[in-house]
Amino acid sequence: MASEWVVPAVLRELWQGYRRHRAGQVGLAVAAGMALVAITAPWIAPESPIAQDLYLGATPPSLAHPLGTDELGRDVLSRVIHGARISLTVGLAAVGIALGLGTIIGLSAGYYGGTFDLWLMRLVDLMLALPSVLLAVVVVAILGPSLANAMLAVGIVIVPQYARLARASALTIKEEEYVLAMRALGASDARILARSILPNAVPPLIVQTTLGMATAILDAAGLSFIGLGAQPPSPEWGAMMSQGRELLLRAPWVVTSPGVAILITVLGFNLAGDALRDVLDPRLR
Amino acid sequence: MLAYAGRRLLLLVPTLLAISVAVFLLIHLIPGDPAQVMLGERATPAALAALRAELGLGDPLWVQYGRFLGGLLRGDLGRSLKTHEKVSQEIAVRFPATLELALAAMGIAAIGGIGLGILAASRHRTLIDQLTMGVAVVGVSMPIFWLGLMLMLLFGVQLGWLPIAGRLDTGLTVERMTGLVTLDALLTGDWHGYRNALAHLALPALALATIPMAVIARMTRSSVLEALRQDYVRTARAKGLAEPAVVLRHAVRNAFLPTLTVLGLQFGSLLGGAIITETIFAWPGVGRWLLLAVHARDFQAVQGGVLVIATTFVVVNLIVDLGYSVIDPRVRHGQ
Repeated sequence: MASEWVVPAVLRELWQGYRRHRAGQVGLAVAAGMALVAITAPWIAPESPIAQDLYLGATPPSLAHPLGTDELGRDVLSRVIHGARISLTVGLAAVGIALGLGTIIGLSAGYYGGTFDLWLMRLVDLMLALPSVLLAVVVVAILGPSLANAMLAVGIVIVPQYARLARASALTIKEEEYVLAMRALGASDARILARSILPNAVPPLIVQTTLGMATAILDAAGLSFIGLGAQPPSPEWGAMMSQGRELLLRAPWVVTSPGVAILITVLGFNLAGDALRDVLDPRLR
Repeated sequence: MLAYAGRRLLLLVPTLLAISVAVFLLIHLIPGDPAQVMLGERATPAALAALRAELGLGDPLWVQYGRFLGGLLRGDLGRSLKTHEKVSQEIAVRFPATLELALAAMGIAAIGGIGLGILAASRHRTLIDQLTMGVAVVGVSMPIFWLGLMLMLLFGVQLGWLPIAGRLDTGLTVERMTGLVTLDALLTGDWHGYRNALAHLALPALALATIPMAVIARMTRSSVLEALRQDYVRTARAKGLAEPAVVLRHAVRNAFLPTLTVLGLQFGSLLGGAIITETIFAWPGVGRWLLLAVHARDFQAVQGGVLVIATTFVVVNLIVDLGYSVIDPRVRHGQ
């Protein structure tokens, strides 16, 4: 059927526009670079992220420790490198949760309509009516502070955004003639949803997913910073800053490096997401 | 206009009810026995039983909700499990601090964001446009907890220009009228107190304003660009109006509606961001208090804090919606 070539064609078109977008290339390079660091962390990190050297204590950047050491004598560079692994995993998992749940909810609400749609969308509106950080704090308050729960909280909180996008796509496509034709030929709802409605929802969802990675990484780090996410001795960037805060005056390098790492990573995903959106909707450029 | 305002106010009721249900269920969504979770592993059976009785956990859910809602209507949010003070009292003391911080941040974000957005749009595709948007994308990617610490380090410690914690120097007091210290100092003509309060407000407000300012700048730019493409702008230019007049009087006015929506929505992110900013700058507001309550598993306090922040956000957005209908008559006529 149609969909075998619909998705690749849509993606190919997207890529052709994207290749000419300079800020997008920078964003992609940064995101890919961070992914590489995350994957190869155990091999490229000079030291263990949790090995302590209490005699060493907090030392400023030097040749042996390019980003210095923290109060427990741990190598900050190695911790930042391992932190990339945690932050990218958290981002992927949170966005994965939101994308999965949101797409299913949105597509079925838009496709079936009626009371089901009405109630679901009221719930979505209610969630959108509350500040997302507050919602995430509430979810963690209920489940208890941990990295996994912070990940879940950040994911749940952004489900409505994906549900809305998927629903909008389903609403516009379901009356198209080729969908009616599929139905006349006896295709099941599941087949229609998967084969013709989902592919059309892909481009806006790709944009949302890329920008969502940025938000998820930022929010999860924020939760860890206030003690509701990753717990010590985890080299999570937010948690590292939370611990380093006590030494801000004596050893500012402990706080500076993870902050810069968060900024660069989030910036990369934001640039890539903006570029994708520009390509899909050139009016906004 | 009045009919529209009435309709919008009526719609507020189900939203607030839904929020109250969600906040009420918070305690019941805790996995395991809520009393055990609140009091910890080593609580005695007697203490557990007393807490269950105090919270009425044995009653059917709808009875409990009825009691909760009845309390809310009387302004009773229960008592904190840790301090045994009335939650409503604890919030009332801290709410003005959060409001002051959020309003100051919103002011910075709105003025800075709208200004930068207009500047970028009017210099579309020039270096100024690219620079402004570059700064904006860095702004939306900024971990504000990191920025807060860096501001503290630079302006508070290295340069020593600004204080880094609290609302006033220790020992200094300002007569309380509204609870907004800067405003109170102005009202009582206390210039020393005013300058001191403003200096304390500067860094947290700036940190909190960063992300909303960047979002507003981007939104303003794209809606001004959109407006600049309209026929009425071409007409204005054709009749020989100077470019600043075209941008400011014709494009910006029409671009203001989407910007206003973003302002309202950003207020929510400000209230959320206040939890983090208040924690960094030891700002004695509701956000920091809520976080302490979460850490202490003081769920009565958590419920109260969440309810107040959520309600504030909903009310602010109502005001924004009503603001629309003043600016744009199409809204109130339901077109």
